[in-house]
Amino acid sequence: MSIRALSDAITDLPYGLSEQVLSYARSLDVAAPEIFKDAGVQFSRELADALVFVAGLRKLLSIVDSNYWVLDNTGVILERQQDQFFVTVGGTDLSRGGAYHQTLATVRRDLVELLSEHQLLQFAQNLPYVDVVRELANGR
Amino acid sequence: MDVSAVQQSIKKFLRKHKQTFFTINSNQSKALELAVTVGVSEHYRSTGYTIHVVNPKKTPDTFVVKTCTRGHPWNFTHLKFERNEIVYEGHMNLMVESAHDEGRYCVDFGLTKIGCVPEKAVKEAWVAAKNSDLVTFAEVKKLVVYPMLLAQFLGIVHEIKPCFIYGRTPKGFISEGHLFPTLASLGNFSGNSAKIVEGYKSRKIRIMVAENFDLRLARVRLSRQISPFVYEDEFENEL
Repeated sequence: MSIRALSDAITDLPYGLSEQVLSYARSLDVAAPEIFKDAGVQFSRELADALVFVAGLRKLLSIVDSNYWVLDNTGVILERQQDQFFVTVGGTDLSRGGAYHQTLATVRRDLVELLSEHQLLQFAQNLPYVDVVRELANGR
Repeated sequence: MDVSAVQQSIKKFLRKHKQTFFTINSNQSKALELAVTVGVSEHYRSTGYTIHVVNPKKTPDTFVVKTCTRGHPWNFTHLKFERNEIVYEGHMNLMVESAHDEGRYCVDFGLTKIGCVPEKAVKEAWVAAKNSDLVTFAEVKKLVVYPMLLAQFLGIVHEIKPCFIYGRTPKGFISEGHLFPTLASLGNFSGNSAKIVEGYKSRKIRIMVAENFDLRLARVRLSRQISPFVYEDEFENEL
């Protein structure tokens, strides 16, 4: 059910990105019984669906975050080593502070705000899945 | 958690940023090539190396990423890794000779001995680095880690650095903190690929498979990990 809910939520993503999100969520679905066992929580389909949905959100955030971070970190490395930094790839400007980097920053900020509004940022960012399951089981 | 409310918010968000996600989709491979370079350099930094960025002479202020086999190496940025007066070079999309025959391959990232790739234009066409000058390498894929991808990567290692599949680890490799040949992937393990990778240890196959590489990078960013390639303990018997 929740893979469907996730799939429905991300219909506007390009196919390649959508598959990355769904594939990761499916892998969590397979691992869910083991995660519940490690969390000491009795397995339920409803909770597992919520976990899979959270996994999809985590992957979506990681796609935005990692694309942003790659450019940002590269800029920082260059800044550490040299006074100036402009990153180009085949004519595309991927510099820190460039248009693409700024657009990524905006998208990332909006997504972080959205997840915060729904009190899901910690779930999507860095809370281990066993703890996510425990929190979900406690009514979060 | 109100799944329905989150679903609606995500839909609205994705509609608003639809064009950006299409741009991310098309730039992701380019960014990945950059990511593996940054990831490897962060790993070497975590083991005490200092990283120096060397930009092309024509564009000294610009980090120029090489994302294909074409082009002279001196027209692209490379990195120098320095620790205790030992220096190695990191090159993107590096052409390298086969370990067995006259074959030549292009690795996404290659760590080489110093000076084996020309830094400025040379009279005779430069074709590939000597196999013996390549220390290690990394490949990056925008795919889930499925069994045939692992088999393909093993094939690449077999052609380029077979000593990591059979034979001995090169002298000084571990003490100098080098990465084993690495496959970084955006995807998770699929099917029984995790079991296959688990089996490499007992088979003495020394390669690194970094699945969910973007998540690993995010952990480095959050300072939860100092290297996206945490593997040392798995091969402690090699020390």
